[in-house]
Amino acid sequence: MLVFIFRRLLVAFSVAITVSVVSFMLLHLSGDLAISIAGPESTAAQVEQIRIDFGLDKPMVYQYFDWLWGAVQLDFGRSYYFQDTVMGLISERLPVTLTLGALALALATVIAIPLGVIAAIKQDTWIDRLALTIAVIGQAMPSFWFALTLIVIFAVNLQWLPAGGNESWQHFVLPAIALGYYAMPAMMRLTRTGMLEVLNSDYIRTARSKGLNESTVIFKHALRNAVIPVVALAAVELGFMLGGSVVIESVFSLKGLGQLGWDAITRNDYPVVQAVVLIIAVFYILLTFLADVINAMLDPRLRVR
Amino acid sequence: MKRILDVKNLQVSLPTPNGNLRAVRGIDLQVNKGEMLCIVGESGCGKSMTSMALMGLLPKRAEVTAEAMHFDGMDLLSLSKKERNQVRGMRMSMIFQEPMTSLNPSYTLGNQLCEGIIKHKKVSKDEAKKRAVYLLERAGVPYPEKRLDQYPHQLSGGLRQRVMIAMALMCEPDLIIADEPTTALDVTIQAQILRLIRELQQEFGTAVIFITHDLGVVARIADRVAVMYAGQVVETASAQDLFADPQHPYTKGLLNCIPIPGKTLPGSHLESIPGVVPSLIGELKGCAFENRCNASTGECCYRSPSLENHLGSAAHQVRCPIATASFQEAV
Repeated sequence: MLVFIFRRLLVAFSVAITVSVVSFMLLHLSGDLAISIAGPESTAAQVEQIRIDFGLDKPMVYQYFDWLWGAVQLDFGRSYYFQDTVMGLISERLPVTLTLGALALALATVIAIPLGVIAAIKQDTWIDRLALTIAVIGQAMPSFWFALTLIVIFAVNLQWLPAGGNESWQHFVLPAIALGYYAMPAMMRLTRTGMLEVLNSDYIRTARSKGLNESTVIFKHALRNAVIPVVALAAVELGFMLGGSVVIESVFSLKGLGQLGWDAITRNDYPVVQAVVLIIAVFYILLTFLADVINAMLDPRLRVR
Repeated sequence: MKRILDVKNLQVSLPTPNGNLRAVRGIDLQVNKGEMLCIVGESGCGKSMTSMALMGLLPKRAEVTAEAMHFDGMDLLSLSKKERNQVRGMRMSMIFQEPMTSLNPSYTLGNQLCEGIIKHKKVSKDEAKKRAVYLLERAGVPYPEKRLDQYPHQLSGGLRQRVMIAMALMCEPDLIIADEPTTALDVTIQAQILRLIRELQQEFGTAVIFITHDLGVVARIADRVAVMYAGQVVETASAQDLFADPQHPYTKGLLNCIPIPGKTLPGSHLESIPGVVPSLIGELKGCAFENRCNASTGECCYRSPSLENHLGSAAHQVRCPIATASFQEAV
């Protein structure tokens, strides 16, 4: 198991390095940085001055390591647009996105797994159909529309919850529901298919032949094997929610990482873009690593690989 | 001898899009304490369905009926779900055909061996482990203590089947149903497993229903044999009688198909039974074997034969009027 974890860490580390190179290169792919920072009305001398100020006259490799050295110390320089350091911006935004993502994923998991299990046990009954209908609606409905509907019902009409902002925990309820419902269907369907497959397997027949209770058969013998692909999916979905929750964040005016990234891209705020890309990528890598470890704990066959 | 299992007119049918598949069409089975009954037949004759029905492991959509299904005096069909669970696993257990997939990949062998006995007999974990080690050793698994912490994927198919055998013996059952336990194994391992099952069966005095398609296996281990064809028993006899004096044309055909070293010349024609098994959907008219039988007469097409005593003895019964010279009115 330790060897397995070490190996996975090594893989994760090398992926992180690759991502750092890519996110650094992003900056230089979009033309001469000094010109775009200086703006269209600047003189050649000003551009030259900016080139020197920002260290853009040095060799690429030097610039990369300089940037990386800063990055590992969590120093990504200053934002070109916002009057703050990049790290200051991120440390303000990241908790919002992390809270939203974690809440949404927790909500999705808590609903998706039991629903998937029940749908599989009651295959082809109305319960199964209902579960699948809920899933299809979640997959088909645009998340911004669902988010707006939630606001209309719970914030405007019933006035139970605030419509936007991120000052208190109440502000996170509606966004978490909107985002969670978006993530839930895939997990629920995967749980259902997994359970159906596992329930037909020979080892479930063996478990039944031992005269175990139905709950032991389902929760001990079936669910553990059925949930393995769901763990991997959940990790990917959480990663996706961290980077891709821009829509939900703007609908609920949550000042999260997604919105920061979006603002930075539209304003050519490269240091911020770089940092956001790198941080989301690192989270992705961490989550994948975590999913691998959880799966190895669930399935002993994975530990040898 | 004490009768442990008494089944009368067992029927199993499964709904299919084309109609009801009547996989088992009225089977009578008696098993005595400590006896080895072999059920022989080709694929699709209903032998596995029979065993699953006895264990109560058929899917819900399968319809199981019987005039009687008594296990040690209990009527299995009238037991509650909980009572049935108690009987299954504790008093009767099963060994399956596929050792590679019959163990849960996510749990240690120790966990899987012990869970049944802990549930049924309320023994402590340590006692359960002790018994598991003892049985693994008896089942010929090397390093039995070490195995408890291992996972199925760390063992070969033959070893896994030995683990399954040990598992089946954990609660000292009165009856073990072994459904083709050697079919998926190498020939050399097959012989070892057969010998092991026979030895343990005699040592523990467990009754065994051994399901197989291989008459060679039957010859080696059976006390009594039931030959099945198209969901019915066509001939039942002691192993000795069956091989010495087969009566039903199907049994004779099966025996003819076995090449005998020294007698069957190299390059000579291998015998087979021509034709195919009839479809089991709906009713069968006449004798199920009629279309493949070389002794069939005109009457066989529309009269369903019943199981009759051969030479006046209930120990050897045949479902063929030509062999027993008696006819029953068509059902």
